[in-house]
Amino acid sequence: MKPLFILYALFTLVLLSWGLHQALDVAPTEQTMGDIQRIFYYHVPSAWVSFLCFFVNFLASIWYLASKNMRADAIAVSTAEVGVVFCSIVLVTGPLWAKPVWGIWWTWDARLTSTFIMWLIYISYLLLRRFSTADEQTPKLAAALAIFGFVDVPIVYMSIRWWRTQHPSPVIGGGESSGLDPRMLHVLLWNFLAFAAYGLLVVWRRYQLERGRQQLNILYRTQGAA
Amino acid sequence: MPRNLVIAYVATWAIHIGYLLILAGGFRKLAREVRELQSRKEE
Repeated sequence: MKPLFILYALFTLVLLSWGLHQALDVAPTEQTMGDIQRIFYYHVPSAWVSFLCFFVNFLASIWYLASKNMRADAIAVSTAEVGVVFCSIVLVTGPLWAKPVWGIWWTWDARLTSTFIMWLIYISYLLLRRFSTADEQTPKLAAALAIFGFVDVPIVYMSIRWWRTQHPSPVIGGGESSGLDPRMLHVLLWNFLAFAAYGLLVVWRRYQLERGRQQLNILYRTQGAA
Repeated sequence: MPRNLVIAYVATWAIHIGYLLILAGGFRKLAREVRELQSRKEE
């Protein structure tokens, strides 16, 4: 591992520790929900990082289809995988917050359903990459799926603005009635920064692995042809 | 501290650490395949 990577990993670790301290010790206790509201500081940044990953996956898929550049394909698969990890956290932490607040673990409201569909789309993308036997065609098929699949991401983001169902309305950028205590916003942004830094770290490592696999496949092919 | 809050934070890190272990396994598999390819070349 290069020193730059180790240095960045240590920086991320410090940020994550700071974010955890902010979420548990510094953020004020929410008046109606109490301490259970602190799940918000892990749930929301994880959702934002998954959106970012899927957006980069979308751009990289377009880049791959336009250029057939294998670096673009490696970025696409790395961001999809890390996006699924963060989206899984959203789907686990959400119900853990919902049970004591709503009295139910899950409901098929617009935000929850569209998030679950988004998760399924990117799981199917990863399964396609893992099990497809059409070797040369797989990155192309996956890129096409990623581009069409990305349609769900803005729907997830906008769902709490378009449909007023069970999920809380947006606290940032949700119009005049929305808003967040500045101290809570501060903690939320620290945690977003920490998880975004961690997401970049993991994508970076996953990208290196994918590039290694691609180069190994080329070696196998040249050896097989020789 | 509410039980679900603890579970949520622990589950978050369990998922992240689980993924890091999968990633480490991927690197180990890649290194093994590179070694196998090199030894095949030498033969």
